[in-house]
This record gives sequence, structure tokens and C-alpha cells, in this order.
Amino acid sequence: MTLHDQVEGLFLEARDHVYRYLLTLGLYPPLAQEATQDVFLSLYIALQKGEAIRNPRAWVFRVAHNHGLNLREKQDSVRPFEPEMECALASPGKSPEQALIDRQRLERLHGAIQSLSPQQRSCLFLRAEGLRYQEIAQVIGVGTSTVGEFLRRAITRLRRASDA
Amino acid sequence: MLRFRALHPGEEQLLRFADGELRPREAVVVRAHLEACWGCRTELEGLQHSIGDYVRYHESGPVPQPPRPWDDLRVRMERLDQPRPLAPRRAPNRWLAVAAMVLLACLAVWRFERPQAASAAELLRRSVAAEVSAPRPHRQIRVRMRSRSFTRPALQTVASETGAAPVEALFAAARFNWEDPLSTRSYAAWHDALPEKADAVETPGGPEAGTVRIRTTTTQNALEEATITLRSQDLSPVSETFQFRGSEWIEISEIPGQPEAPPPAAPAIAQEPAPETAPAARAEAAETNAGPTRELQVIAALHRIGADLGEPIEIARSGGQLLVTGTGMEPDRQQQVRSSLAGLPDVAVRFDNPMPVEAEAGTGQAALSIAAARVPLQAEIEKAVGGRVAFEKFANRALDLSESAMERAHALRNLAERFPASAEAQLDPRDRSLLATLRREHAQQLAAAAAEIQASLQPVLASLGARYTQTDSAPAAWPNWQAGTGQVFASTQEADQLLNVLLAGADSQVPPSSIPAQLASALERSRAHAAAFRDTLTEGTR
Repeated sequence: MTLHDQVEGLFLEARDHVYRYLLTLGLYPPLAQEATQDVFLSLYIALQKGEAIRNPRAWVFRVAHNHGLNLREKQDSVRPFEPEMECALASPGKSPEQALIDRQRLERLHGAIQSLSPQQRSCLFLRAEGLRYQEIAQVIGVGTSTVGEFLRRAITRLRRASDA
Repeated sequence: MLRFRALHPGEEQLLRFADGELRPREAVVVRAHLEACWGCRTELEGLQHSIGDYVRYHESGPVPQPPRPWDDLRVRMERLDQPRPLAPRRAPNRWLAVAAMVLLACLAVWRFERPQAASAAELLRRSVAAEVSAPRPHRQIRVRMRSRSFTRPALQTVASETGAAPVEALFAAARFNWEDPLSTRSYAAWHDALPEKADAVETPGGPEAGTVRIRTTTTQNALEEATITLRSQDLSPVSETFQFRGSEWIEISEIPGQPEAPPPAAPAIAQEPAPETAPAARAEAAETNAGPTRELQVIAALHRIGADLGEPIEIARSGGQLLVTGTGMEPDRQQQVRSSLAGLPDVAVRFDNPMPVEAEAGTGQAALSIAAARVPLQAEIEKAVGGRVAFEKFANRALDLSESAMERAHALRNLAERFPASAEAQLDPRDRSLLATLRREHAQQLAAAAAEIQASLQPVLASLGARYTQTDSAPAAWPNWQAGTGQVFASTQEADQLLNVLLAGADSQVPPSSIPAQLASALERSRAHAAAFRDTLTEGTR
């Protein structure tokens, strides 16, 4: 398998995740898409130069985070990440009552996530992407114990939302 | 007094356990506790339930479609492989070559404005991508102008070198990043913000062969012409020229092979007085001393790259060597650690992978209300700081500061444990001075953080009815700095724990109504101890 194959495989696998992460940082979609592609080209350049990258996923998110923050500074404003809730709220095959419950639950969860601090949201996102605390710490530039605390506070808030 | 409650793991500890982030010894304790404790198992299941909710949201939630189809990355990688930027993508046919010559002759009159602008933009974009992926090695740069020249670190986020203020003002007027001037990102940021500009791409010959230069001219900026010269091989910037309106020009170039000064986190170390022993004699002594001296040198080296503040690095003596072990660190960071310790004899460096995730936690769906009782005063604090969003910001800031203070307190305690008075006595005068500088810097940062935490919390705690008392905050005289470190650590930790109770809902036996007063006292103690410790260390150097 050539280096092109490897990077292209990673790109196909993770580009949507990286793109979505960059949107959560507040980038506008065209910039987030271009930045996503830049990140994987950077990965290609780094691998081509012989850099040893043991965990490409963590590497990609770290580069994406730094690149995204740099780009965001150039934007006139930060774009709040507001995914199309209607898409997620569809509950095919469920009774109207259950669909309503699901919808209310998801809306509460969505509201709770939106109320988190940017760093807490980043921690949750990256943890759900499979990154370890140490890796998340390196991506967002805080201490490992701070990641633990961010996650705890974020989960606490989500619990409140689901118990409400 | 014995407290059963204190035996329960906290919420964060449970989360770390579920995430496989506890040290093995801690995990064993928590696992044993969970087997015995229904309450904590239920708590853990509640955490898992919330994690499950989020994972479902994350995975099945809406993934917004990008505004246009994705590029074929393979094509873009192939473009990167080509010996561009100046070689044509395909060898033209002969008749096309003739046409191209005619076209080039025409374009020469027009100064290649459009195609060159595209090439410059592409070059900048690729160079920025390379810069992002591989942060440049630490290096020094030379700044030259008509009347004088000086050198400085390529990346300088602290105060400028004396006498550089006029240059800094020129860059500020042009909105060009003076902190990191020899950087394609800085150049591109300035370039992209220009409302009107003309770019040209040049390939210098002679001694500058193997480079490519971008020249940007504009009438809309205090900087009327700038060039950045990139190494063709990796597109890293090697020099720049700046022509400002009013005829001042400045040239910046890298100094090959010169390491950058230590990062700003350790300015005090960089400004150590001259060694009291001759360098040669000192080096010889170092060769034969693998004890406290070598240990101090290792800590100082890690300190220069900020790796002594909570990073998973252990230092242990092993035979005649010092073994430095890092756990779960990224390759880049590993390389930084290796580089920082390179050249120190009798030091071995090793990196371990983190433990695999332990899938211990249950997956039940038990609901557990944690509701308002967890942070009983949150509503009042929100009112005091101006709402929910402000509360989050306020809490994050305070907890981050407290985290920084704890990192410094841990670093101080680490120094005190590694260098008790008997070990310190074995150090030569210069190493004693180095040790003093390390602890002084930690103490200064700790005192600053403690004071800032107290200042930011004071109005909030006052609104909750708490008053500061200074009766019990004056520290006793310490027989030596090692003893002082213990007291400073204890008071910092006490404040940190209470802060987490107030702002993050950590478990506590303190009645909610007593938290503000206890925290106010703890913050005052922490501030007073840290300030007294800092002053003691400062006086000791006079």
C-alpha cells in the first residue's frame, strides 16, 4: 500500500469527523472544508518526510485544532455550530408518543451540549472520537487533569439535562 | 474523625475509571470499592448512561454536508509530489511550446499578474500547511536594518529586546505579526488581509539557488513591499525583506544551527548569573556526578520545555543512571523531551504506551438524579456573575487557575522531596543557585495564581455572605524552604478542593451553607502562604 493509499484511506475515513470538529470550533463551512483537506495534506507531507506518527487520528485532530483556531482568528465572526436538528429528530418506525419523548430528550441533550464551554465541548467530541485524556490534552493545549475535570463537568451537565 | 463518605470515589475518579485513565493501583482500589458499594455502582451506571446518550448524539446526530464535493486528495498529493512550484505540470507539445513562448512574452509585459498571484497563494497555502504539520525547530533569527542589527528567538511572545520597540511599532502599523515574523503563517495573515496587492514569484540564483521567493507589493499598507524566501525542499521560510513607507527597510533571516532561547515559561533560568566554577571544570565534575546534580539538571532541562508541570514523566535512579520515563506522550513531545535531555550523560530516556482501556463499568440504565443538590449554590453564583454563560466562564477560569496553582505546588513539593537539605548540601554553588531559581519561579507563579484566584472569587463569595479573615492565615516561620513547601502545598490543595466543591460540584462533607466561608478562609490562607513563601525565597537571594 502506497503512502497515497494510506493517506487517502484516512481521509475517507475521518474527513467528516474532522470537518465537523472544525465546525464546532466556529469555522464557516467553506473554510472548515478547505482546512480539513489541508490537514490531511499536512499529514501526507509529514509522513513523506519520515515523521513517525503512531496515532494518526490524534495527530490529525491536533493539527486540525491548531489550524482551525488560526483560521478562526481571521474570520469576522465565529459561526455557532447549529446542526440541522430536524434531521436528527426524525424517529422512523416509532409511535408518535415515543417519537415525542425522543424528541424532547434529544432537544434537552442538544441544549445542554450547546451550553457547555467550548473546551468542554471539544473534550466530549474528542473523547467520543476515541482519544485518550493525554491526547485530548495535547489537542486543546491543557493539562491532562484539566481534561478529566472538563469531561466530568460536561457529563454532569448532560446528566442534569437527561434527568430533567 | 472517621468519615465513611470520604471512602467513596468522586465523580471524576469514577469517570476516569470508566475511561481506563486511572493508574493501575488506583483502579484496583476503585474496582474493589465498586464491588462492595451499590451506591457507587449506581453512580457509575448513571455516568455511563450519560456517556451513552452523548455517543448516540455524536454518532447518529446530524453531520452537516460540506458546501461542495470533497477534492480528490490523491490529485492534490500528486501535485505536492511534483517538483513545483515553477515546473510545468506536463511537458508541453512542441507547438504548444511555441505558443507558450509568445504568451510568455506578452505576459512579461503584464508582469504575470494573475497566474503569479495564483502561484503565490498556492505556495503560501502549501507552506502554511507544512508549517502547521511540523512546527519549526527552535531557532534564532537575525533582524537587520540600516543602522543596526540584532538577534532574537524566532518566536518571541515576551517583551521585545531593548531597542527593538521602533521595529515593533513598524510591524504593528503594518499589522504584521512581530511575535513570529519569519513564519509563512504571519506572512499569509498579512498578505490575505490586504485589500489590494500584487504578487510575483521568483527563483533566485547564485547563493540563493534552491529557494523560491514571493514578492508582494501594495499601496494599501504601511509595508509597501515584502518578500519571503522559502526553501524549495520543504517550503520553510529562510528570510524576509520588508520595505516600509518612509524608506525604512528591514531584513530578517534565520541563523542556521542556532538553537532558540529557552521558551518564555522559564525566563529566570535563562538569566542565571555566570557560573561560579569554570565551565570546563564544571563539565568535568558533571561527568562524574550522577546523583543530585544530574537529577537537578534533568529537572531543569524538562522545566525549560514546560515538562515539569503535571506531565506524565517519572525520574528514577537506576544503577548508575537516571531513568526518565514518559507515558502516553505524542511523538512530537517525546522528541522535545529527548532533545531537551540530549547531551546529559548518564541519563536514559524511555517512553511507554498507556494502559489499554479497561472495560469495567456496567451498562445498566439506572437513572440517578443528581440535580441541584450537587452544586447547591450555583443559582446564587450565576446571579452574582451575570447568568449561566458567565458562570461557566467564571468557573472555568477559576478552576484553570487553581489547576495551574496545583501544578506549581506539585512541582515545588517534587523539588523538596528530591532535594532535602542533605541532598542540597551536596550540590555545588551553581547548582544550588539553579535549584533556587527553579523553586523561586514556581513560587512566584503559585503566588500570582493564588492571588488572582482570591481576587476573582472575593466578590462572589462576599455576595454569598462569606467574609475573609486574616487571623489564621499568617504562616509560621519555616526552618527551611523544604518545610515551607509542605505547608504551601497543603493550603493550595485545600483551596483547590473547596473551589471544586463550590464550582464543580465535587463531593464534600462540608454543609453547603458553610462552603463560602470555608473557601474564603482557605483562599486567604493559600494566598498568604504562597506570598510569604515567595517573599522568603526572594529575600534569600538578596
